[in-house]
Amino acid sequence: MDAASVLLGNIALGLGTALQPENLFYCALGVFLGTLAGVIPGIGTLAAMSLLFPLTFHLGPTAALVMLAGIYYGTTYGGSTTSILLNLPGTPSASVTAIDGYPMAQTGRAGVALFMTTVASFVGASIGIMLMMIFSPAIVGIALQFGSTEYFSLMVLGLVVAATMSADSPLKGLSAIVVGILFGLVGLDIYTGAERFTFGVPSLFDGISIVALAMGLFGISEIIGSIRSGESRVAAIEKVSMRSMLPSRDDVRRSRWPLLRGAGVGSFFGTLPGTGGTIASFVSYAIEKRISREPERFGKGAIEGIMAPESSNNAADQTAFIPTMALGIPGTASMAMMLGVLMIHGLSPGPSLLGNQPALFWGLIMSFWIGNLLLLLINIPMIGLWVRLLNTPYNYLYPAILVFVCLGTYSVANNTIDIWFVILFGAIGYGARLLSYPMPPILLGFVLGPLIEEHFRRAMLYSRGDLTTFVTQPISATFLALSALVLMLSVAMWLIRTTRHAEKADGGTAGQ
Amino acid sequence: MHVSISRRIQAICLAAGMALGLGSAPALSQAGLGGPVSLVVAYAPGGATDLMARTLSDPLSAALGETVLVENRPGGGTIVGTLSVLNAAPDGRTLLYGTNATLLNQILRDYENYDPVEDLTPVAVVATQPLAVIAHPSLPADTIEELVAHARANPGAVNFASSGNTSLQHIAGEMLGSVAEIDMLHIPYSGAGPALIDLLAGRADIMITSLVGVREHIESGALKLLATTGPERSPSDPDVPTVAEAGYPGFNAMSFQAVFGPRDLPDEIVAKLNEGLRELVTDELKASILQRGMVLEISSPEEMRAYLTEQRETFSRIISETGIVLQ
Repeated sequence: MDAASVLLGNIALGLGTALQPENLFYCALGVFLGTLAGVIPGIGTLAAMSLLFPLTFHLGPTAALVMLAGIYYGTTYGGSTTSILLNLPGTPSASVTAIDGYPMAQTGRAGVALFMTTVASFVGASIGIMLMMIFSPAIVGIALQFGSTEYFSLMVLGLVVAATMSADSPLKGLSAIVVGILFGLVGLDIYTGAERFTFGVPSLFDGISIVALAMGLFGISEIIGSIRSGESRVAAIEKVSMRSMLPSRDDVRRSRWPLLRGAGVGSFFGTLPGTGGTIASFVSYAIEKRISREPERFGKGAIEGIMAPESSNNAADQTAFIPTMALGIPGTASMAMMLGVLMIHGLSPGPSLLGNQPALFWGLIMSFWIGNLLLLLINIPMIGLWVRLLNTPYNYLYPAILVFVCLGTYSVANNTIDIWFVILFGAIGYGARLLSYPMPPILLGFVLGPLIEEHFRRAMLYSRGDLTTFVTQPISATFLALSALVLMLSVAMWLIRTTRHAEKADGGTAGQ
Repeated sequence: MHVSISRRIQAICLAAGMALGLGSAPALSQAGLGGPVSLVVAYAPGGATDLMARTLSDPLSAALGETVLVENRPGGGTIVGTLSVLNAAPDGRTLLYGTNATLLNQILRDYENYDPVEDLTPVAVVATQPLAVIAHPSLPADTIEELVAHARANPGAVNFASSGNTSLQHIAGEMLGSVAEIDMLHIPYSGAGPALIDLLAGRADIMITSLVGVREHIESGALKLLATTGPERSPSDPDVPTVAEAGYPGFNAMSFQAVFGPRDLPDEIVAKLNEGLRELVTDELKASILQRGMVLEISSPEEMRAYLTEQRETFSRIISETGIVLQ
C-alpha cells in the first residue's frame, strides 16, 4: 500500500515534469526524428543522436535527455517500416521483422503488418517501461550476476534456439551462421590485438559495420533481384483505407501471446548490457517458430513472426535504460551519450540520481510513456503514406533507396569503406538468394559469434582455464541444461518427422 | 558557382542554427581561417573524448570566429581518424582532438611509418586527468602498499580489468606491475563500461580508470579508491595519495586530450589556434570540467611537443619491458 502510494507520487511527479511544454516539445521532436531515422535505411540511432547532440548543451538536462531518449526508442519503431515494405531493414534489429513482414506486404497485407508492428512496438515498450518503474533495483541485482561465464552460456542457448530458424535445410542454415561468424571475426582480437582478415587496412581493425552488412544482405540483394527479374517485386496496392489496415480477428488471436512472450524476451535481453535488441528479436522469433503448431507458416507471412520481434526489440530498448540509469555505467555508445548529457549539465550519473534528481528520473520515465503514445499517433496515420510509397515506379524508388542506403551507411562512421561493404554484401546476398541460402542466420552469426568468443575467452581468463566454470556456476549451468534440452527436443522432433515421412512414403508406394 | 552554393548552404545552416537557439553566432573576424573548422574525434560519438570535444567546440567557435564542428571518424583504433587529419591540407581547418591512444597505437603498430610527435603538428595539450586505482571492497587491500603485499602473497591471483588491450588503462596496470614487481592477470574488455560492471560485481579485483562516473560508487562503498596515478595528487582528490607516494617515485599515468594539426601546419596558424584555445578558458568552464575529473589547461605548442616526447618514451619503455606485443 505504502509502496504503491510512493509509486503514485513518483508517477505524478514524473508526469508533471514530462508534460511541461518544453519537455513535451523535445520529446515529440525526438520521437519524430527517431522515426525518420528508423525509416531511412542505414541511418542509425547513434548517427541521429549525435546530429542533435550539440542542441543538448542549450537545453535543460531533462529536456535534453527526453529528446535523446526519444530518438533512441523512436528509431526502433521506424525500423520495421522498410523491413515490411521493401525487405530492407531500417535498423539491424528490424531484420527479423522482414522475414514475415515482407511476405505479408507482397500479399497485399502491408497495412495490417505496419499497423500491427506499431501496436507490437507500443505494447513491448509499455511492458519494458512498467518493469523499469517497478523492478529496477531487482533487475540491476540480476544483471550484475551476469559475468562472462553466464553470457557465454546464454549466447549458446540463443544460438541453439535460433539455429533451426531457417525454413528448408538445416544444413544451409548452419552454414549461413558459420559464414556470419567468419565475417564477425574480421578486426582486432580484443585479447591480443592480433589482426584478423584485416589485410592491413586500419578501417577494418574495428570489424565490419553491422549496418553495411544488414543493408547489403537484405536490401541491396533485394534490389538486384528485382532488377534482374525486370519487374518491381513490390506488391501493387489498390487503396489504403483504415479498414485495410485493421487486422482480422484471426490476426489478433494469433498475435496475443507472441506479443507478450516477445516483450518478456526483449525485457530480459535489454537489461544485459551488450546484447540488446538485435539478439532479442532473433531469439523471440525463433521461440515463436519453435512453439508454433504450424511452423511451416513462418517465412510466408505469419503475423506471429512480426509481432514477437517488434515487441521484443522495443521492450529491450526500454529496459536497456535500467542498468544505465541505476548504475551510471553505459552499456552502449547511445547510452554513453545519454549519460554524457547528464555530465555536461553537472549531474553525476549513478545510483543516487533517483534520490537527488527525482523529477529528472521520473520525468524521463514518464516521457517514455508520452513518447510511445506520440509514436502511435505519428506512425498510424503515416501507414497510408508509407504503403502508397510502394506505388512509386521502381525506376524512381530503387535509385532513391540506394541513395539513402549509401547516405545512412556512410553516416555511421564517415568512412567510404562501408559503402564498398554494402556493395560486397549486396552481391553476397544476391548469390545466397540464388542458391536459396537463408540470410537472417548470417546476421545472427555475425552478431553472436564475436560475443560468444569474447565471453568464452574472458570466462577462461577468470577461471584460469578451467572449463568446469560453465557448469559449476548455477546460472550458466541452467542455460547450458536448457540448451541441451532444446537440442534433444529438436532431434526427437526430427526423428518423429522423418519416420512419419518414411511411413507416408512407404504407404504411398504401397498404394500404387 | 560551387563556392557560392556552399556559402549559401553555410549561411542557411548558420541561420537554422541560430533559429534553433544554438547560440554563439561566431563573430566574423577578419583574422579567421577562411571557413569552418572540423575537429576530428577518432571515436564514435558518446565517449569521454567526444564529449569534451563537443563541450569545447562552441566556445572555440566564438574564440576563432569560425564554426567548429566535431567530426567523428572512428575505426582502426584511432588510426583512421588520425590519418585523415595527418594528410589534410595544412590550413588549420582540419584538426585532430587526440588522446594517449594517438601515441600508443602508433608505437604499437607503426602503421605507415608516421611519427605522431613529428608528423602531426602539436597545437596544444588541452586537458589532463590522472587515473585512479580502484578496487572491489572484497579485495583485502585499502592502499597501494597493501595491494602489493596481497599480490606478492598470492601471485597471479589479482585480476585487473581494463577498457581494452593496449589502452592507457592496460599500460598503467602493467606499469604498476612492473615497478612494484607484482604479477596481476590482465583482463581486457571492449570499453570501460563492461569492465566497470564486472568490477562492481566483484569478478574483477582492481581497475585503473578515470574517476568519471565512478565517484558515486566509491562514496557508497561499492568500490574503493586506493590511489591516483599522477605525478602529484589530483586537484579533484587532494586527500587521496598517489601511487608514487607508495614508494614508486616517478610513477605517472595521466590521460591527456590534445589538439593536433596536419603535417606541416604553418607556425602562424598554430599560434592562432593556440591563442583561440587559450581564449576559450574561463573560470566557469574550468570548474565544470574539473567536476568531470579533468584539468583544463592549455599548453604551448613547444610544451606539447616535449610532453608527447616524454610520454612516448615512458610508453615505449613499458611496452618493451612488459612484452606487450601485437602480432
